[in-house]
This record gives sequence, structure tokens and C-alpha cells, in this order.
Amino acid sequence: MRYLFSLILLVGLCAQSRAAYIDAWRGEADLKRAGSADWVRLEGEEKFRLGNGDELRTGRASTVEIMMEDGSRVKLAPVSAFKMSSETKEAVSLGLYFGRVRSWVKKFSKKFEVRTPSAVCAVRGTDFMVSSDQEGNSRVEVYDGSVLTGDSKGYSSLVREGQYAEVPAGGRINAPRENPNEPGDMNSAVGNPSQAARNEIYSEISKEDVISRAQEEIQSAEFQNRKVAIDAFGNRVRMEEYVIRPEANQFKYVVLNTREGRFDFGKMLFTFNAALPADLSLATRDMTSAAGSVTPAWQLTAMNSVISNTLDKVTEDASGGKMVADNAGNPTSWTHFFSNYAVYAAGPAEGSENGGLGRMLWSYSDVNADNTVQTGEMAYLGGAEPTGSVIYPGGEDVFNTVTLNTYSDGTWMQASDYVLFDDGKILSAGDLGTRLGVSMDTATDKLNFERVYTSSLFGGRKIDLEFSAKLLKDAGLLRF
Amino acid sequence: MEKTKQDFIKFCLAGFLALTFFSVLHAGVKITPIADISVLGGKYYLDSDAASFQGRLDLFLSPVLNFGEGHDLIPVYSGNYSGTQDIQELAGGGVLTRQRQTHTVSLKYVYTDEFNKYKPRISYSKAMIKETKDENWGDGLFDYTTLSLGFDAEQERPYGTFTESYDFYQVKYPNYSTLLSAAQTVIDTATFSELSSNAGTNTMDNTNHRLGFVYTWFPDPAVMKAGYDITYRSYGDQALVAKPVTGQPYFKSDKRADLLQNWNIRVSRAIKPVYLGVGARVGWLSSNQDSYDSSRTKFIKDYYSYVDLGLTPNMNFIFKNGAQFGFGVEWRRLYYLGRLKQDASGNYGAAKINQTVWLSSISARYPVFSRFFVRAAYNYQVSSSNMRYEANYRYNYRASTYLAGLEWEF
Repeated sequence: MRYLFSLILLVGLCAQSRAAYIDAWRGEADLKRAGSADWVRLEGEEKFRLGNGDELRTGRASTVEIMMEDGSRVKLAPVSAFKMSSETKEAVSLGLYFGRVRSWVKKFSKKFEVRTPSAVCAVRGTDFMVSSDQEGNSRVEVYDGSVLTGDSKGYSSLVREGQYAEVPAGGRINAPRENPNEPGDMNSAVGNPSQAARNEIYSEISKEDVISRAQEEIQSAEFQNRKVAIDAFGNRVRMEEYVIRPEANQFKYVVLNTREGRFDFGKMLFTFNAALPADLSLATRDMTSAAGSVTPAWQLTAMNSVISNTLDKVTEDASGGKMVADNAGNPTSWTHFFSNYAVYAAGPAEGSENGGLGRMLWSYSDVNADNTVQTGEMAYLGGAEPTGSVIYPGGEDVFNTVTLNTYSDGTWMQASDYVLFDDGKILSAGDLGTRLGVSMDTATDKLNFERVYTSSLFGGRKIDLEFSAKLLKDAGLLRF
Repeated sequence: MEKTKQDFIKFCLAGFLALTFFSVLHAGVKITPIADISVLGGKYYLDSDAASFQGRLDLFLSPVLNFGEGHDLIPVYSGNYSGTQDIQELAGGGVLTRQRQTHTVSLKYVYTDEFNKYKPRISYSKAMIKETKDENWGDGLFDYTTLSLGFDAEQERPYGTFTESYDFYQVKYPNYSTLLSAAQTVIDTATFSELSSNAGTNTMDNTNHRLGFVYTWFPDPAVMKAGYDITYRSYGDQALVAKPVTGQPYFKSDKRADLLQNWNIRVSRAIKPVYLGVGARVGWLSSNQDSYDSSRTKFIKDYYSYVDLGLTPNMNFIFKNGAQFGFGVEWRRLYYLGRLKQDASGNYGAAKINQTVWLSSISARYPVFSRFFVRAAYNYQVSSSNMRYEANYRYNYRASTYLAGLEWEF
């Protein structure tokens, strides 16, 4: 009996000496010995021997490499759970609960198999990888040699070098196919190289997306900052508006427009009776009318406006400006009045007339200084009062008016006005109540204004300027 | 100078193609082709207006080159054509139809050293945008090109994954230069000289340096991701706007520079087949640029700076056969730090502008044949703001899109 016990012990020791051992590990790997309920974290330099029934599990960024007695090698990928089912002189059986295990099996060695919840992979001499997901679906990829893979229903297929086969949980093994992928990175929890590469591509596209979103925001700010709009004809208009202060009692408003193949601009110089405040709006808000018994501190005395397409121009020139009380003895409100006002138009040929202002179309001068304009104070090109017409191409409800004046010498000038939404749509009366909820007067403050001048002086060209109406309306240059 | 830069870009691209070609010839290189193409059609609605039915094509192609264990080279071509507005594009510009095509080539090298990855990258992109009747492909006002260089590093550890990235990118708008720069010969000399002092030409061109940090960790059963990124964006040709002062130029000599920072955190959890997630974000853009409203003679300090808050819960159903159904909501609130609100007539108030955007999305993907999927998506967005003046930009609107079509994944 004593000899028998010694013999068993000797066999056991020999078996132990043949047993697999943990050759290396990285990160966090846990070992549970057969019969124990506790997982123990691998630590230190010791090469732990693995007995039948021992289990291993790996965390993220953690791997374990196992050496078999015959020189075969097994690597457990991150986030995997594995069991050393049995190792005998004739056979090795490994279990994979989930994750991935790659095996480099010595040729002409003992029988070697990897079991998953849905598959059995048996091999002699090969390099292959077996994976199993949390649901028990398995996949075997063969890089060298061949692997006989069976499912739980008893079906099996020989998976050859360069092929892979999938075994669904509880299902039948799929026919082996050509494996388009290289062996997966066993240090990564993502076993599929295609998926890993796809992740890199998505990351790259995502970076481009971040740049694209930033540029959209920058573009959007151009709209917010009133630099881009769409005109009444659906075309892109770029606008730049500037205010500069040449003298203490002056400011100049400049608006620049470009469209495809054309450039238009307007510049308006406003001169006041006194030095202007730092906040110009204190002066501009009372430019055309003001309430109160006291004369407004800043009164517009002169104005010069030029609107041009760089060849042709329309000029308005005014002087002698002042605020006129409604009741001289007891004023309650004030209205602005220019004593002298003239409108000029010029093509290249007329540009030098009247000291560079162009050809005078009409003017008035308050000769009797009564702060009103009488018929006798008006002057017109050709002498007689021009014939005029106003039409509404879209109907009277649509804010598109076309005003045509034909002077007695045959010269004519037409002004087409549009009040526009941001998308280029022309305002109509129906929008006032429904879309805007405001009166006609305030609607013109809210929206953009486009004026198109054509004239017999312009040689078939037009002047086409879009701008915000507010300032020009305040200055009396626009009248609705 | 410009020519030299263009040549450099062409040189990089030629090198990229040559490298790819010779890599293929190299016997030791293994190629894994990856592609994804989707063709969709749909419509965009902005308030009561609807754009016409338009198509959308997205694709990417990549022959992933593996030079051996740990060495991968990933050249990617990605392209996009969209005949409809994207719901996430800022709709306030009032543009109902916006056709857009982008073409990007990129090259990324991934070196894997056990649990560490190092990824230098370069890309060149061209975006062409048609918004109005008079714009043709290639001459859109907002066309731009991007040259980007970067380096990502990743360390995967048992307790979490760290990612650090640095990106440099330069964006150029070849069709956008200031009108003032073109006005020299057409407006009078006095006015031009009053305006042009310090004024730049290519004011939208911008150069960016971005540093990003992401940490992902796994408190079972959830996955958490926290990130921070900071971008320094300089506009080398955009001068700062000055408050008008007698005899002083409209522009200062200093140039615009923005600093953009984002903090975000996301938690997700899988209860298969349901995947739940919620993300929160705080963004802060700090700019030194001001603005002057010439039509209302109002100087607005710190016009561009804002703080941006976001919350994005989402729920996805992902099935084994590849079918996916997703529901998501995005809430975003934007607080401008200096931009003043205006009433409907444009009169300025004392309060600053804020804007709230709700975006809800429903999407579905279902396998129909081999690697083909049918896809459909519906997005609905509501934007509201205390800003009532909308002559040039809409702050208050409702927009929606629907898209449906096929996707092929290879």
C-alpha cells in the first residue's frame, strides 16, 4: 500500500512537471485554482504552473501567455476568460468562455483542442485563433495548418490555412470562408483587424467633421454679422458696411456689395452742427424727427450720398439742414428739413458735370426760407416737371415698387425697390401680421433693402445695391 | 507664396499615392480593403418652406496596409455630396438649399507597441458649397480647403485608456476676400484710405492648433469617457474692429485670435440589445474680436465669445443581424458673452443673446442583402432665442429633414 501511494505521488509529480505554466502576463490577470472559489491576482516574477481545471481571466490591456509541456504556446487576449480543462500525455484541452485565445501548436505533438460554448476546435500542428463572444458565438481563424471544428449539434468542418469559420451559439457551423483579415492584435480587446482599422477611419472622419463644424460656425457668423445675404433675384450678395468719422462733426457710412461679376457701393457723408458723441446712435436716432421742447443737440446740416456701380452713379447732395419745430413758440416735436437738395445721375460721359456730381435731375432750394418746398422752388432737368409712374410688379401687397421718371429732355431714370427677408424673399403685406407681427413702417427696419437704378444715362447698365434700410431711412434717404 | 503652399500640398498627395502604390508592390504588405457607401434621398424643411427632394452620397474607401505586426498604414479617401441641408448645419443663414461636396484624402500611420499606439497623420480636404443660383461648383463663396497634420497617442491600461492628440490645421477660403480689398480703384481715394488702414484681405482664413485629451474608463457595468480639448485659432488677416473715433482707422493693427475650450463627459451602458448613453458638454469660445453695427452705429464688444452647454441622451437597439434603431435628443444652450439682443426692429437692448436648440433624431438601419442595409433617419430641430432681429440671420426657427436609402458596407 505504501508503495502504491508512492507510485501515485510519483506519477502526480511527473504529471505536474508536464503541466503548462504561465510564461508571462501583462496588466491585470486573475487565476482561480481548481476547486477554489477565489480569484487571485497574478503578481511577482513567479511562473505559475497550471493544473487541470485552473481558470484564468484577463482585464483590459491585459494578456497571459501559457507554455505547454511540449513547447506549444497559447496567448489569451484582453477581456477573456479561459480554463485549462485538461492536459495529459496524449492531449491538451482548453476551454474559452469568452474572448480570444491564439494557439501556436507544435507539429507532430499531442492532440490539442480548444472548446468554446458552441464549438470544438481540434488540431495537430497549427497556428490558429479562437474567439467567443458573451453570447457564446464562436469564430476560428486558421493561419497555419488546419483545424477540425465541430459544433454542438455534431456537425464539423475542416478549416484550412487562410480560412475562418463561425459557429453560432447553439447552431450549426457555417462553411469555412477565405479570411480577408490578418491575424488580429492579441494585445487588443478588438480582435477584428478590419474593425480596428474601421475605428481608425471613423476617428479620422470625425476629426474632419470637427473642422467642418467649426467652419460652418465661422460662415454662420458672416450672416450674423450682416456680411452675406441673398438678393431679390436669388443671387449671393456680399455686403460690407462701415462707419468712419472723418471730422469731429461728421460720420461717413460706406456700404460695399459684390455679386457674381459686379461691384456696387454706396457712401454717405453726414455733417452735423456740432461734434458728435462717442455713441453715434445718440445723434442718428433724432436725425429726421425728435420729440421735446428743446432743440436736439445734434442737427444734420449737410448730407452727400453716392450710389454707384463703379461706372455710373446717383448722387444726392443736401445742405442747410436743421430741425424745425412744430410750434415755434411752444415746440413739442421737431422735423428735419434741408434748405437745399439736389439729385444727380451720371454715366461715364456725365460724371464731370456740376463739379463732379453728374447731371442734375431735380433740385429744390428753399428760397423764401419758410422751411417748406413750393412748386416754384423746384427745378428739373429739361425744365418741365417730369412725367412719372409707380407700378407694383407683384401687386400692391408686395414690397416691390418701380418708380419711373421721364424728364422733358427724354432722360429717364427708374428705381426698383425691394424689401427682403434674409433668404431673398420679397416682403408682402401678408407677412406683416403673420410672419413679422409688425406694422409696415417697422417691417422695413427689420429687413434688407435693395435698390436697382436704371437710366438712359447708364448705357444699359444698372446700379444694384443691397443694404440695411435703417440708417438711410433715419437720414431721410429712403422713404416708404 | 500661395503657389508654394499649393505645390507643397500636391507634393504631399503625390507622395501619399506613391507610397500607397509602392507599398502594394512590396511583397510583405497585406492589404485589407474597407469601404462604406450610402446613397440616400430626402427633403429639408425650414419653418413652412420645403426644399425639393434631393440626394445625398457618403462614401469612404481605404486599402489598409499592414507591414507586419504593429505597423499599419491607413490611406483613406472620403467623399460626400449633399443636395440637402444637414440638420446640424446652422440653419440661421436662411439658405434653404445648400449643395455641398467634400473630398478628403488622408494618410494615417498606426504603430502599435503592445498596449500603446502612436498615430501620425496628414490630410487634405476640399469643400465646395453652392447656396445660391449664381454659384457654380468651385466658385462658391464659402468653398474652403483644409490642410491638417496631427499626432495621436493612445495608452490602453487595465483601469482605462488615455488618448492625447495634437492637430494643426489651416483653412483657406480661396473665393472669400474682403470687398474693401477690391474697392481701392472704385471708391474715392479719401474714403478708401480712411477705411483700408490695417484692413486685411483674406479675413476668414484661419490657422488652428488643437490639443485634446480623452480618458475612458470602465466602472462596471458602465463605460465613462471624459475629454478636454483646447484650440487656438488665429485669423492672420482679420484685423480687430475699432470703435469709430475721429481721424482713427476703422481697424486696429492687432489681429483676431480665438481660444476655444471644450469639456465633455459621457456615460454609456449596454443592456443588450439596448445601448444607453448620455453626454454632457461645456464649451467656451473666447475671442478678442469686437463688432460695429454700421447701420445702427453701435459698437459691440466681445461680439463672438460664448459659453455653450450641451446634453445628449440617446438610446440604440442593436441586433445580431445588424439591424439598428436609434433615438437621440440633443439640447444645446448658447450664451453669447457680449453680443447684445435686439428687438424685432433691430433696437439694441442691454441683455446678451442666448439661443436654445433642441434636436431630436430617429434612425434605423436594417440588413436586406449581404452587406446592404436600408437606412432611414428623421431629425427635427427647434431653435429659440431672445434675439428678435432676424434680417440677416434667423435665431428662431424649426427645421427638419428626412432621409432614406441604401448603405453598402465592405
